[in-house]
Order: sequence, then C-alpha cells, then structure tokens
Amino acid sequence: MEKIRHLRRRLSAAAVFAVLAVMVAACGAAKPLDYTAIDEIPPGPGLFSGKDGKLTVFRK
Amino acid sequence: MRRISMKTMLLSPVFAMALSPAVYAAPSDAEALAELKRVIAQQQKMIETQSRALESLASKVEALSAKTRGNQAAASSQAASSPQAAAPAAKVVTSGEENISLAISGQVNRGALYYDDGDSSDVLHVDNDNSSTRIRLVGKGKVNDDVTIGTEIEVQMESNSTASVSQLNDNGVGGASFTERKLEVYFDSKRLGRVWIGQGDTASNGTSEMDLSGTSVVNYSSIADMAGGLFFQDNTPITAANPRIGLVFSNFDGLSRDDRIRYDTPKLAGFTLSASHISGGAWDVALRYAADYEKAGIKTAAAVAYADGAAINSFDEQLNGSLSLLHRSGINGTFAAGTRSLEAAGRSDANFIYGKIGYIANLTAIGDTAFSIDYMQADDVAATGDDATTYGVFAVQKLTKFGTELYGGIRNHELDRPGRNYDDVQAVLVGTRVKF
Repeated sequence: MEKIRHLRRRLSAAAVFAVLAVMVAACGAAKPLDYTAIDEIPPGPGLFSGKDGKLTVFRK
Repeated sequence: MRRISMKTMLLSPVFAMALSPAVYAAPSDAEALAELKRVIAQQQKMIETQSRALESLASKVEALSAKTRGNQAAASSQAASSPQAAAPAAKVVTSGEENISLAISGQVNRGALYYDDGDSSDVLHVDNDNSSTRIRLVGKGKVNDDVTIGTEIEVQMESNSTASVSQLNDNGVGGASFTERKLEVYFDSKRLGRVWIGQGDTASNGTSEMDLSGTSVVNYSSIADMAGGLFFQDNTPITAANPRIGLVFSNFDGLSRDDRIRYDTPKLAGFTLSASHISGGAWDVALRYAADYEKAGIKTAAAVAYADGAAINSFDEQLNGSLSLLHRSGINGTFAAGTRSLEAAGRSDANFIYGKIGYIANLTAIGDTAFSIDYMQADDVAATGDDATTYGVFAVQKLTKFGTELYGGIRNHELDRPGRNYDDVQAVLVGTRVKF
C-alpha cells in the first residue's frame, strides 16, 4: 500500500512537470487566447446588462 | 362660413359710414362722391387681401393641428407596445473624468442539492459554491496609451453554500454572509506588466483549475465546491468530528485569494509569469499559458505553480498544475495534479490527480450544451492513510442571449480510512446561474 502511495506522489509531481513540458513544447505559431478563469463571472451577455454583460458608465 | 361672417363684420362699419346721415348732410358734389367711392373701393380691396391672408393662415393652423394629433397617436401606440422605449434615455450616472469607466456586473447561482450518505437523505436549497452569488464593481482609468490604473471590488453572498451545508446544519447557513473576494487596485503597463495590491488572487490561485469544458459551473477540480459540507458516516451518529467531503478532497489550488502584492509579466507568446507575496510571509510563483492553435483547431490553457505556504498555512510546500484542451469539434479534456508537503510530524505528503473528458454540442439555437464526466483520486489530504475517490456525470445548457445557464450533475464520493468503514456519499445538484 505504501508503495502505491509513493508511486502516486511521484506520478502527481511528474504530471505537473508534464504540464510544464506541454506548455514549453506548445511554443509554436499560435494566437494568444484570452482565457477567463473559471472562478470569474463568465464573459458574454447578461440578463439585464445585454450583450456586454456589464453595465458600464462612461463620460462622453 | 367663417370667411363670410368675418368679411361682413369688417365691411359693415364702412357701409354704416357711407350710409350715415352725416355723410349725406355734408355739402355734396360729384367730386366728393367720387372720392368717397374711391376710398370705399380701396378699403374693400384691403379687406379682400386681409381675408385671403386669414384664409391662408387658417389652412396652416388646420394642417399643424392634424400633424400634432398624428404624432400624439403614434407616441401613444409606441408607448403601449414598448414601455422601455418610452423610458427616459438620459443617463442617470456619469463620470467626472475622461477615459474613466466603471462596470457593474454580477450573478446569482442557486440550486437544489440532493444527497444520500448511506444512512439518510435530504434535499437542500443551496447557493452553488462552484461559482457563488456575487456582485462586482470594476473601475478603470487610462493614464496614457501605456498605463492603466484599475480597481476591483467583488463580494459574495452565499446563503446555504454547497461548501457548508451538511446533515447537521441544513438550513440558514451563512444567511448573514457578505464575504470578500477581491478588494484591490492595479497598475498595468503594456510594456512592463501589472502590479496588484490588496485582497485578490495570489499568483498561484486558479492554477489547478484551467478548464475549457464548459461545465465548470457544476464540476471542476475543486470537488469540495459541489457538496463539500457533507459528512461521511459509518452508521454511528454523525458529529462534527466526522470527515467532510471538503476536507478529504483538495486540488491544492495555490494560495487562493489573500492580502498580497502580486506582479504579472506582460503576455509573451501566450505565457505569463506571476509572483506574489502574501501578508504573513507566504509566497508563490506561477506560469500560465493560453493559446489558440487555429490550424489544428485546438484551444489550450495550462498553468503550473509553486507555493511556499509555511508561514500562513498548515503545509510547507506545494506544487500543482492543470491543462485543458478544447478541439473545435467540441471534444475536450482536462487534467490536473498536485502534491503538498505537510508540516505536522508523521504526516505523509498529500497528492491528487484529476481528469475530465467532455463534449460541447450545438444542439439548439439558444446556446451550447456541454457534457462531461470526471474523476479524482486524492490521498492523505485530511489524514495519513486516506484514499478518497470521486467521479460524476454533468451537463450544462446555456441560454446565451439571456446570460443564463441550466445545469445538473451527479457525483459519488468514496473515502477509505484505515480502521473506519465510511459509506459513499452521493450528491445530485441541479440549478441555474443567471448573470445579470
């Protein structure tokens, strides 16, 4: 059992580095993506605010 | 009819004068009579001219009256069919400066949570902690073409949060809650990057939660958010000492939100490097990547982070990361993992692995429909020897035009702890998130 735990810990660490490796390897011809973190209010229309999804006040 | 009577009125004094005895009483000769006739003819001509002018004016007045009646009828008709159109268009709030904006936004996320812990079951009415009910004020001021100053205030109000309600406390949980999420300012330079000051995301927050599945409102790597307050039970009376779902599962998502100073580099080829120092002495670094491979039709979001939390947390160090890929066909995959070394003597390092496979379909015109299944294995998180496993099935229907999502899902939670025999806990969550 302890060997399995040890193996899982190593796998977790290896997986994190794998993510890093994918990121580095992905440095190709790609367009930057505007990623919205999932704990943020999602982009897009709002029920009352319309297509902007927010009520914005500007001075003309 | 009106013209005739007016003309008669105007002419009558002239005839009266002409026929008066005073006129005939005066010495009369042919010249005086001719002069009188000439005067009368001249006045008659003037009267006719004035009459034509009055007739023209009367026509114009009549035309204007008809036009006014038409406009009033059209306005009444429009107001009846569209009350919003009749509302005053004038702005009620304005900024005192140029290049300043203030945006107000928020969401309400409510649902019903059914659980079965192997001994009892119930339905709870909850605020979905996967994406809590909240309101946000974001201000921006553009100093020049390069520099922007911004502020953000975001607070949440969760009544019966899914992360808190339990078998022991199933109603009125957090009814008075009004908790901070972000209270911060930032200085952003396109060339030099961004400095954040205040309560907000630490550099590593969110690095275990990169997710392009479209179902994160109901499931993502933070398992505790769906039903984290529920206790595992082993057929003995539940007490506060029983293990909670939220304590045996963790995605080691950095140092969360805290009072800190943070720096982000400008985005370079999709990469952003961040670091923060937290009040109390903890610190973290993170690397994020987000890109759209248009030729391959793949969107990618990934992050890794290292956190030294010894100064303020119960762990020494933490390494975590996540990766999410979305193909243009709608098929997507998400993966996250992390490991944490703990301070307590004799405690094993804790670790987790999470995976999700999903599909985003365009079944109706009202919005995307997303499906996913996920799995997590978390070991030694709450206690050495714990093996916690969970898996679930989820769906989200977007009503894009209305800023609304309808969602539902079912998840099974298992806990193996040496010397105990806890039953599985099943949770079903259905609800809606409405962005206003």
